[in-house]
Amino acid sequence: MPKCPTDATGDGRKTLLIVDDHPVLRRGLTALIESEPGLVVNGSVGSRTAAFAAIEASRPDLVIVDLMLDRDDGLDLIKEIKTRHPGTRSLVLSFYDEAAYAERALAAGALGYVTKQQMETTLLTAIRRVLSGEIYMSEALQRRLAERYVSGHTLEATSTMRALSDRELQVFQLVGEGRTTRQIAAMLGRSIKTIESHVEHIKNKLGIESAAELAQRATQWVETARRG
Amino acid sequence: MMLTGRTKAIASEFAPPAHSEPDVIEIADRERRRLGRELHDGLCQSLAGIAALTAALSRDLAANVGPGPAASASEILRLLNEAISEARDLARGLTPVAVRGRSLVDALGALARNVSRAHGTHCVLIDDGRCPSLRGETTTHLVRIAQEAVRNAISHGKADEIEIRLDCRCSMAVLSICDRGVGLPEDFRDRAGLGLHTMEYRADAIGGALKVAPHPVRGVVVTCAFPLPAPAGHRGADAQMPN
Ligand SMILES: Nc1ncnc2c1ncn2[C@@H]1O[C@H](COP(=O)(O)OP(=O)(O)OP(=O)(O)O)[C@@H](O)[C@H]1O
Ligand SMILES: [Mg+2]
Repeated sequence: MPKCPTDATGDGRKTLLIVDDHPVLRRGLTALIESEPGLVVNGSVGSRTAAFAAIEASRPDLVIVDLMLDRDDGLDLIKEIKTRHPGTRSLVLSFYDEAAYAERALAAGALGYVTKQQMETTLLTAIRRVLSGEIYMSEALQRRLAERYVSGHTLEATSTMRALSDRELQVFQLVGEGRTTRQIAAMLGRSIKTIESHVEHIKNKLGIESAAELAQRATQWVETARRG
Repeated sequence: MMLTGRTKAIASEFAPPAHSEPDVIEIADRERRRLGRELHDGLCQSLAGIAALTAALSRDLAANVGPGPAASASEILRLLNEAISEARDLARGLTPVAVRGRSLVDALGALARNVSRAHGTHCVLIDDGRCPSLRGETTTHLVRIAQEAVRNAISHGKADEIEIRLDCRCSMAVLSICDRGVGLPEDFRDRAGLGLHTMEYRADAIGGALKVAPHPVRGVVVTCAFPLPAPAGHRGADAQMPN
């Protein structure tokens, strides 16, 4: 059974860790969160390794995770937090459209999804909700999930993407951002062969025939995901 | 065709021999996606961070100083949020319009709408409704030509009005992009970046020709004349080049 958030500060305040690779964003986020009485940011880091060091050292009540970290994948990080530290809650803060990534984030173990465009208005509410043990999602996402539950399917463009595994989607996203296979391999710490094999699977699953068509579709996907 | 020879000459000058023409186009597309990414994942993040800082400041001022200063901070926050939307739109505008599976008219229409929305420039498509269906590759080249011409019209020409026209004859068609901007500098050929070269490549690749010229009144016109597939039962009767 997951533990209730511990009272790490000893005075009833909740502690948070920020994982985002952008320093200005981390700085602003810290100020915003700490403007709320009862919340303390006791760490802000930019990578997976640093995140685990911080979690082990300070046992935060909540980790706020950016999905697109420079070197690491946010979804992987959330899954790993869930297995290694089941008592630590996580919340996603991303610039990418909720329709593109929120469900995957929740499936990975996050308890909420907030887009950076709505940061000032919804982040603090989302943090409160998640800290009190609830799940936070926007009304639009609640509606979409309910509709799918009722109808058993969805007509959105993002739905065909559901066939892709998290890793395949990550590769697809990187292709759409204009990265080469070599760059993707270096970023993910995998061999070029592995990435090529992911690419083959993606092509099969999406019925894509050529490299040019893959680039086109991936670009289109990124464009949609940025619509936020 | 003269233009073709010239395009090739320029090509060998800026592309290392190891790169074939499609490679060069591929590189240009990739570069555009990279810029879009940097805007989205770099600049937008900074702005969002500053917006969050400002939100914190505004709360602090409201609690400890007074409503006047807090309102000023909120004003800054509102402006920052507008700037973020603009930067995000720009990041999208830089992402090539998706062409796959679309007709030329459709894709050009989407381009015009994107541009109008993202840049606040009036960009319209005027099409004579006579464009036959084209090969996917041809459509892609034409849309990319229009996209680069529009990009130039906005960034160099500071144009607030852009017309994309598509005129189809029996065996020939002309795509033109006409802006009401500041016009071409004398030495624009010497300033050429990837844009003009790539447009010429693309025109060449579909058997057409590209012309970049001053508009008779004001601004710039980019024209790409290209052959249409012969319709079944017709043999190119009036194959003369327009203009
Ligand atoms: N619509 C226009 N209005 C005014 N000047 C233009 C226009 N189109 C092109 N130019 C001029 O022609 C030059 C060459 O254009 P080109 O697209 O090749 O290069 P660029 O836009 O500077 O670089 P790149 O396209 O590689 O980013 C531009 O630098 C600009 O001076
Ligand atoms: Mg240009």
